[in-house]
Amino acid sequence: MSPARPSARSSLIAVSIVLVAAVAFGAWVLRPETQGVGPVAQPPPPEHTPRFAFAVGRTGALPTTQLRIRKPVHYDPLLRLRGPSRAASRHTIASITRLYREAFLDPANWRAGAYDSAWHDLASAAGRQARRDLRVMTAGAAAGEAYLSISPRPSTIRTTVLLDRNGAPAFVMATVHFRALGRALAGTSNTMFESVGTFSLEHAGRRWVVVSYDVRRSDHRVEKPLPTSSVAATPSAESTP
Amino acid sequence: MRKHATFAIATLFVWTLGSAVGAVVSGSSDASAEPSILVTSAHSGSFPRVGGNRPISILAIGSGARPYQDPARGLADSIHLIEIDPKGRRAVIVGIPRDSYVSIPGHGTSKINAAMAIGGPPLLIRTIERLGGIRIHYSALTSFWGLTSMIDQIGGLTVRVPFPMHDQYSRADFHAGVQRLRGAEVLAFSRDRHSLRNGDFGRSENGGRVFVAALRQFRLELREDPSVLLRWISAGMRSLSTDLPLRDVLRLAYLCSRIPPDQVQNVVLPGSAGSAGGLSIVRLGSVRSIFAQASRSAHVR
Repeated sequence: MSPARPSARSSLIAVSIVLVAAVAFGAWVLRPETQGVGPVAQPPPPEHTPRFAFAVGRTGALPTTQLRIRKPVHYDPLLRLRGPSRAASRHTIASITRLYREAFLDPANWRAGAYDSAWHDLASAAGRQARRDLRVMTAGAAAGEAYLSISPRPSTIRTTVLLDRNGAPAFVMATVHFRALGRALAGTSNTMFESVGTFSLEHAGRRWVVVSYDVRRSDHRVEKPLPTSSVAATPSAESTP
Repeated sequence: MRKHATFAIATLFVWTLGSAVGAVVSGSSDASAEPSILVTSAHSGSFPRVGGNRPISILAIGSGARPYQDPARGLADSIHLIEIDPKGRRAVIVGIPRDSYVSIPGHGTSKINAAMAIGGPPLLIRTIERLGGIRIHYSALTSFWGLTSMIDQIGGLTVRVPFPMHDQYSRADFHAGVQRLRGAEVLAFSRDRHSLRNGDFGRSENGGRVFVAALRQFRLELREDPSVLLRWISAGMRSLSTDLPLRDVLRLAYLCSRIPPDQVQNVVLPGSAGSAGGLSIVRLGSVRSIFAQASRSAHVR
């Protein structure tokens, strides 16, 4: 048995190095674009909730005091908000803002697919229904697997306060158009969440709670910008009330 | 040369193997990683209920009081019992001809419209409860100017006028067909009996048509702009006296928004025209079964 020649040993080492390098290079070059599914490739998630506030549209109060004059009245009596009715409108806007923030924007919620904190200002029956309507009311139970981030887009709210016969606020109705962009982890498109809803709130102790709602969703896909262009997910408004 | 070919094949094989390993390590393919939770055209809602699922009975009274009179002490110009079945999402409007000759508790027999002038809405309610063997839960009273205001505040009402109506007394002047009526025109449409073949019965039926037209319009407008709910409630409450708490009015409005107009029956109590003591009256036929069916299932066969 003759010892191996130095030149043959060198060739064997060189071939081994080339093979290992080829395996590594092939794995790197031909990997699918679904980076982010694996924990190593995923960029660190933003753990803070994006700042968000609705742009407030028309607000007003409607009286129910019985007409004293005994002749026909022809006008629409939308009154300016003042005192308690203004406070009721503010509470309502805060409640609905909280609801949408928890249901779409708080990463702790949508990453886990659990939205219990969103129903804080819902009366018991409405809250039970909302839990059943999770698909329509929130970013969804599987949002954590699909999105890198969810950022708000310009959204609007308007409120109407119904006064009781003594002039105190009795109900508030909020009409909402909420939009947010879900940046998808994979694929060529992102998701624009669109939620149009009406919420009725009643006074319950020191709070205003949602007693009924009617929400429609019409999400759509939006093309992802080209990799060269810079993308900045900007919140829709200044601050959270 | 042979050695080089072997090396190239080996490299290619290892590269392919490497790409497969890469795919497995990275997870799923592109297609399955697309967001699969897109929600398009989905809808959800939660509506509060009025008194659970039991049928609700409301007496709608149009007072014939003049502007200087208390509407609650005028003659009842139009009387409609509205039975709503929340569970079945349907309703029946039972028109009671104002000239119906009935027993008024504690006051003998007279036209039913006199009951309110004698004892206000409570006596009218007791009279109808005794007549039909039913229980009435709520009442709502309006006047000529109240109805006119109510309709004008919601911007008019689209009504299908079933036949030409021309009557100098009520000032009804309509061709047949669907048309948008102002408050005063709705009042004329509801009050006209001279240009109707069946007089008081036809007038009562037209009153029911106004309710159905209002429901149809309410649902249409609500679909366009949900805030009309409060505008309609405001217009109604300003023009009505009712024992319905505001909270129940809101719940009732939600309930009505879920009742299709074609699920609302408009019936008038049957009877025949006659006279008593020089007054023209309506002698009612057998009406207890109609009231019973209406209150049980909001439907009359």
